[in-house]
Amino acid sequence: MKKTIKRKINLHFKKIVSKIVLYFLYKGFKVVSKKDENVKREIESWENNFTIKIDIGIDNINLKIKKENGNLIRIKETDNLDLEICFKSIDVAFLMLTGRLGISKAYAEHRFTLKGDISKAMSLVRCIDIIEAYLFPKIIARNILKKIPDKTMGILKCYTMILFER
Amino acid sequence: MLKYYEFQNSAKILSGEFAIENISYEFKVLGAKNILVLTDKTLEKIGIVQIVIDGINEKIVNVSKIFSDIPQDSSINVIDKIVKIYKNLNCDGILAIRWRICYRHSKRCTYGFISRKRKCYGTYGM
Repeated sequence: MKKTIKRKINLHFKKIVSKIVLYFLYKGFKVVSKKDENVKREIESWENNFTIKIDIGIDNINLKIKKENGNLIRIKETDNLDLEICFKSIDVAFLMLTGRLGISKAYAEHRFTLKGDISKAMSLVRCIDIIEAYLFPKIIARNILKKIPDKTMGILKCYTMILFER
Repeated sequence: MLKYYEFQNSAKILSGEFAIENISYEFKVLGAKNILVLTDKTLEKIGIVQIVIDGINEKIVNVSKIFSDIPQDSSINVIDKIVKIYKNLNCDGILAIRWRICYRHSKRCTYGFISRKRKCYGTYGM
């Protein structure tokens, strides 16, 4: 018995959207870390060469970020991961990446597995919460965040900076 | 003389949105790669089995065979048949769809494998 065409299309759509959102999450990380003091402070607390992997659980679609000389860079291959977040299924990752499930709720529901230092993971979660507040409109962010943090720039400015950031 | 052992086949309940999609991960945790699906004809006909197959990530676990030849009042012969298929296909896990008879069979098969020192990493009942 094979998968239905509907499910195949659904999976394909989710993969494409997840790739796009991971790209914006990475870019958002870079932009917000320069503009927001809280994110900047959290990233400063990570040691140099600190590597994070967010895996959505299918087809090796992931986001690997490394802190190098104070800057965050996206890498393709690495052997030593300091922190790894691995979603159990793409469907849950899709919910989280599209702002329908908060990272705290996803953690509480055991939607992903975590490998690495939990204090660093909490730091990453705080960063992602702030970045989500910048990336998602208030109406979405209100549902997934406990408290909307004070923002230093609007959503339009944030996306403009993401698109023209080098 | 048979060596002493204790065996507990405890249940883990996964419930809620996208619970079916988590099955692949649960089998991965248990170390199972090739699974045998036990179900009955009615569930196959009404599409419940298809929903489960849709939820399984084939890159993590491979569904070797769907065995749906389990009647309402099943016998030990059916269990023997399942064990034979399980061994021939080199399976290492069982997924039973439908609580009562299929799950009971999957558990009985597991007991059989353990007493014959065969590997059975995971048994999941739905």
